Amino acid sequence: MTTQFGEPNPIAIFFFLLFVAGTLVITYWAAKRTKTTKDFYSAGRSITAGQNGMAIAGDYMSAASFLGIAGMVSLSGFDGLIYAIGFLVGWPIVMFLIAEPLRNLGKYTFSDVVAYRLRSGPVKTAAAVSAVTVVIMYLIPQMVGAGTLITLLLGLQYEVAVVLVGTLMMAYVLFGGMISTTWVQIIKAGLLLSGSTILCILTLSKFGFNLDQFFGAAVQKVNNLTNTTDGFKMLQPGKLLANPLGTVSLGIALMFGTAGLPHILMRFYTVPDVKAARNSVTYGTAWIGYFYVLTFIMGFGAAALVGQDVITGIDAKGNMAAPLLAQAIGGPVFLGFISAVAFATILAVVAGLTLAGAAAFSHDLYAGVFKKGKSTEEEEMKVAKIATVAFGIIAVVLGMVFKGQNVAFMVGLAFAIAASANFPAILMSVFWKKFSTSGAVVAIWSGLLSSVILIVLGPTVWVDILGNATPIFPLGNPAIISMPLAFISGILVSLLAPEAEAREKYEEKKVRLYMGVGAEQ
Amino acid sequence: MAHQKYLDSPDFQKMVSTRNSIVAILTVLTLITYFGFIFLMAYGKETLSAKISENITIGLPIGVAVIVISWILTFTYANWANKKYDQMVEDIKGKVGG
Repeated sequence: MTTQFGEPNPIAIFFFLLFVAGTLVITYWAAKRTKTTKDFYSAGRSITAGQNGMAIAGDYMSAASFLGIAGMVSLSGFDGLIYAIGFLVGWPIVMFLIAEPLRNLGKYTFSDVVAYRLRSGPVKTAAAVSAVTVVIMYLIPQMVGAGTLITLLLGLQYEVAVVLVGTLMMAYVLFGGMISTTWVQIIKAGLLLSGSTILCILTLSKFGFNLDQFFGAAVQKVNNLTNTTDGFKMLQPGKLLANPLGTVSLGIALMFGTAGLPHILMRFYTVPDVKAARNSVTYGTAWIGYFYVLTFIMGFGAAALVGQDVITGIDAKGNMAAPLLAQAIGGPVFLGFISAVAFATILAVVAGLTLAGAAAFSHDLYAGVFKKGKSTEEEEMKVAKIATVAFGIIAVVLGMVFKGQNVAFMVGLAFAIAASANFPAILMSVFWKKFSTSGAVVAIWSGLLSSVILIVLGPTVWVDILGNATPIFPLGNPAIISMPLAFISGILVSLLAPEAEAREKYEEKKVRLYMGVGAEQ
Repeated sequence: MAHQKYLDSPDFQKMVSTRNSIVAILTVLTLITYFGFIFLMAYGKETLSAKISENITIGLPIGVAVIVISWILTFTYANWANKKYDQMVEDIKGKVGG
């Protein structure tokens, strides 16, 4: 099979320009409506549950899931399910434990909720550092992915692509804040879901919608390529998850990490009330679950119709499986469309990340810690815009620095930190009366440091990147150690150094927590 | 203090404990479903590899079932909260707050 990868694809460029033009028009419209910090961080709380559900899906379905999971499934088959399912099961947890308390107790960021009854300074500082770390770890693979992807799909130079993504994302956030970021997410989610649906229907139609034939074709293709009968292993749990404990640890990070991602949690402040926050999770979960079923079909479709040899020939990790499948099925036109969708996906996710990172600086650190909540609206807005530009520049620089590096592990690290540093602190602050300021600070720092240190000592960094023979820490994902560590240290410190004021305020805020009385409007 | 009226009200206390129980049950069900699947992936490879047709293993429908159960649990909560919980909140506001 011949591919048109690496050359400018006029159809991809056409669809891409259409997307850029549309989103810039929206940004222009949004800019006129973005006057206050409430508009900038939370779209004036004017987003409906249905819109926010779609935007949540848009924020969450990153290139890592669209290209990464489809690729992983095309090469490893069944094992890819652990990612697809792990990314989804975080959502019931968000629904039951996080979304409603967050909306009722906080204002713009998740650190508002951790700090709502504790001493703001130390708690918000720790939470903001952790939020920024997660955002940057998530941002790097998106930028590197954007550069690589655009080089392959649109035929542009890597550096040009990274600057282009950085500039567009900065324009959305700087001028249109959360309003344009939300609409970019909604459009992107619509494109991604419809593009993937068409791709899957066309793929399955080649097999008369007979699933047994469909999977059989993938098995047969692998058999033919390898001259073995190993194809059936595609449908069994296999070598990707060789270490059972590592599988469980990865599962923990995926499930609880979702409930600690700053850019996702920020979305619950964009809706008018707690009911809309709750219902937006319902819509979001429905779309996200549906999408992961599609990635699984796309992965097997690529294994059957493209072949693993061609897939790894373009990208060793399999990241181009979905675009290759589009080409095999719909020729250059469909490839162009799917390429533009993939680019839109990255662009939308980096915009959401940048806004969350900027808010950690301007709302948590500047307004919350440095000015102790006494800054004016204009001051905070100005800092938010400066932080947005700074994040845009940082993203572009990091995209250049990490060019050609193996950065896929960073998404796993982002989830591990979110599960270890952010989730335990939010959960204990909302549900445990005896949780104290020192307990929160220790929980966040221990979760953050232990997950970073263990991932550096683990197989992905210590062996694959630093070139040592054996890892000091055996598991690829540290969450099985770092998340319990955060809970235990937070509990011990809270019990050893009780804080009477925090307990009183817990009772005081209980009415707001459960009934939304006094929640931010 | 306005909040004390609520905290002392038996209706409020009942609502809080009802919500906490429902949330706890649904969370435990989610954890059992997901970690059951993870442990099967990690330690029960043969079980998941059993064929249900020529080219499909039992692992596939089980994986899809985990997604469907996650949906059902999420929708169950939203449905309960939309219909029952919001009503309890309104009733208590009317009774205690008014």
